[in-house]
Amino acid sequence: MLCQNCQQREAVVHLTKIINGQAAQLHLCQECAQKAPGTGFNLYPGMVSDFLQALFGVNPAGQYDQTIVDSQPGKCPGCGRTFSQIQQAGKMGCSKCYDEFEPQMEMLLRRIHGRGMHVGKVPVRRGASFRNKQEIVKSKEQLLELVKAEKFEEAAILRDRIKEMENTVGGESK
Amino acid sequence: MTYRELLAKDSFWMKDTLDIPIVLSSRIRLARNIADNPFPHVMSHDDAEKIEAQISGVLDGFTAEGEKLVYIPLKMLIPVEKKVLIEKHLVSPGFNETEYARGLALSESHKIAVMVNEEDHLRIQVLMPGNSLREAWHLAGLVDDHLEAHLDIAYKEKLGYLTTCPTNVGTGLRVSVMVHLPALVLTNQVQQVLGALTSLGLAVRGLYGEGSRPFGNIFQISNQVTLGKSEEDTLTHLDAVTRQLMEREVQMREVIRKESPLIVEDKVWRARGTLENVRILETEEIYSLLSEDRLGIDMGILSRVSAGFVSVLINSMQGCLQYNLNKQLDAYHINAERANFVRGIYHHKMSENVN
Repeated sequence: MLCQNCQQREAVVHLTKIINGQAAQLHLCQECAQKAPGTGFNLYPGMVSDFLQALFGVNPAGQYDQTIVDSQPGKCPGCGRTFSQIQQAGKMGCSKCYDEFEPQMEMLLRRIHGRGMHVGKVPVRRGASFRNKQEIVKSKEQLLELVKAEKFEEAAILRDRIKEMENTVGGESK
Repeated sequence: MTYRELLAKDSFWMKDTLDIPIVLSSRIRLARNIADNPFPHVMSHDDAEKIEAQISGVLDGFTAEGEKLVYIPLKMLIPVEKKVLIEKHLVSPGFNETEYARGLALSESHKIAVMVNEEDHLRIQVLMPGNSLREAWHLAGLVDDHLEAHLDIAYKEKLGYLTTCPTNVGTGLRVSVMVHLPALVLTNQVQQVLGALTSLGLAVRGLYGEGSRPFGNIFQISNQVTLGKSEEDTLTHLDAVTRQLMEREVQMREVIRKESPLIVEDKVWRARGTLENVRILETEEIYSLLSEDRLGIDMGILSRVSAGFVSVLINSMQGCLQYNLNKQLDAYHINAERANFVRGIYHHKMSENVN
């Protein structure tokens, strides 16, 4: 794929930018990517905070990517931090920030961790229902594997177990 | 046991592991926060004190598998004691740089160390010698369960544990192993092997974590992704990679034993000779000498010494050296005392052999 800017060199940098609330893909060559404003591309390897700031949408000169800031002018009700303050620090202010700035965080977390939602430990005090939900997600993955491997008898047993679990998750399914 | 006695002793992870000499230590770290409270980097002095009091009350005196935790407020410690904690990997290098209420819950063997009000309200760490990730994970889980039973931990169904830095969100789990790879370095294979790890979602660092250089052929390997991957998968992944690394290192040791035995023998005997006779020893030099000496021991060329590789390495660092000698030293005298300390250990072995 050719660079969208110069149309000459091969595109090696693929960026997703939010413009007016819409995700837009940019495919640039190394040279154009470094010149592009607000791409936050001049990273210092190993410097986690700078790296995070760049991922949050702050360019190297400390200027925010205006398109992202403008889309979320609010303050976190928990700690009073704005999203631009969070971007600047590369750190969240409190646990409520994750709710308040959910859309921005979703995009950032995808950049850091790839696609995915939590599949690990559930706090003891959260009760059994969370754990059951996770168990169902895992079991469904296992079920697909069993079907792929043509282990139909084991798959049928697991399918019935999933149904049972779905019926008991906080009485939500039925 | 006084704080002084507690800090001066060798940590359990510094014990020599005779069976698996390549993996020096295994570490589990869990990042946790109390719900609806400002994270440490934005909290006020009052917030910090409130959180510290709440957490220390839950941690102080808690016992997991015979490991009893003692809470040490950071303000109780003098600068050299804080340095000892960093050198023994019980707190992070940045932990001391604050005037806010912070502290550490430490078990007697130093297996468990929980930092309070570091980057997150809670950083649970379990550090063990050798390749013992499962054991470390089990112990960390016990501490974590105890905290969760008494505190309202910040958690969201979709995102898991909520952390100050988005790089830790999800499981909040950082699993790492410290590996000693002298043969891979000697044969110029290490860049290639460790370089491949980054494409597997793993990070490679030096002895003191992020930004530190890999001295003494020691590398830290840890997971990067914490969201969308279960704790079990993360452990299994790192365990598999660690076993591969061990295999490669063993292979390379066999190669150099067969192809250039004299070169290796010369290298390790020179290191042993220096360690036995040195009078001034700088930090960087001791890393490489001890690494070569350890390779000689592992390959059966050199006899064992009374203290293990990691114990000598950590105890010869600036803070530990001054703390154990109970005096402040300038750079010149530190290097001389370091040489004294190391000679003492290597001569002890010689007199043992004579007897």
